[in-house]
Amino acid sequence: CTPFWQQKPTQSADILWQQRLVQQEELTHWAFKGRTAITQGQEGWNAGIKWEEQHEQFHIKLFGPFSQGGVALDGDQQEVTLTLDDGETMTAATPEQLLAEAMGWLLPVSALRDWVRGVPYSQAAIENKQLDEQGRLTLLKQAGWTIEFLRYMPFETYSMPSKVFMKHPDLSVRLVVTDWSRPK
Amino acid sequence: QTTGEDKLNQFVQHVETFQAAFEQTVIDPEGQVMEQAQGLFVLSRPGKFRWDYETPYPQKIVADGKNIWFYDVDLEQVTVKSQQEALAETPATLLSGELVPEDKYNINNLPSDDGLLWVELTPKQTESNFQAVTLAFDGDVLQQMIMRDSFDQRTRLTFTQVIENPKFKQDMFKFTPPTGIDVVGEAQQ
Repeated sequence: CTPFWQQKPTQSADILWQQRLVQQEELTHWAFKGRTAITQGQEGWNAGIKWEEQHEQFHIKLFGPFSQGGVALDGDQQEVTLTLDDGETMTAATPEQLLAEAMGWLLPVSALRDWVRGVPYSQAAIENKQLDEQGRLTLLKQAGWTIEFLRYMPFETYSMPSKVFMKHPDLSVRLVVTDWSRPK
Repeated sequence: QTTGEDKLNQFVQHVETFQAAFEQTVIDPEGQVMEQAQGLFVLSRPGKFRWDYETPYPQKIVADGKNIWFYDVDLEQVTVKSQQEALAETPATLLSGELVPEDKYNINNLPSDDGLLWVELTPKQTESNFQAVTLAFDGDVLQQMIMRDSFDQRTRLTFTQVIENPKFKQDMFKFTPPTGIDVVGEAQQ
């Protein structure tokens, strides 16, 4: 085998993983566009999605084919407003509450915010995780969810998820990201 | 002096089947282009149509007369809904439906200097989920359809290589989910 001083120091996946977490900490301003399929029981919705985050502020827009049946969520850690496509608005403390009331979806928006960036949800324990050789998540189990990271794409100096399937016993969220960027 | 409305009525009355290449541009409220996609659109009135998106991602929306099927290849999922439920209030029913537009929409012709005849339809019911549909006719041929939702987001469809009343194969509007792909929702028999 090659002497140790010639072997390229292949950092273990775990070290790369730690570095990724630190790097992701700095990413407080981000945005992505993509498509999602939300399934609850035997009902499914296909929607385009646009998500922008700036520190505490977030803007999430879901819209059906041909811009039909849009839903917008705007807010911060204190208050969130949901606007339906007929102009009706509702306000609550959390996005989860609003989506449950308005759409009947039990969507863990706060957890999604971390998962879509390829990092664990900060408020829940990690039940299981698997990494690829670059220290990126390929599988994550948290808060009753199983999250598969099926593809990554470059964004500035980051490597961001571009295909994520999230599964919970009674809800499934599939996401394909077509574009990562900075909020306007 | 023929108007956009005349052309629309002519389309609704004379066009049984329709085929065109389409380019779809989604424009956000600030006028920025959010996405551009291309594909083939085929229609058989009443009630059947297909949007086969080819670029930038393969996706199919097929209305077979009873159900509407959404298949997003990258998301590896088919969602099916009954056609009444899913399309009750969308512009797609305008093109494919047998409804006479007047009873559902306020119709007004728009001035234009681009040689096209424009007509705008705004839903009479206030809680409809889109604000306006605008159609443009180049002579007799439907050339553009623009849908604006209540967030002022617009989806513009531009049609080219239009063929009116072509003959379609029997199963043109039949959708069979690919094996191994999840199907969500119950198809009406």
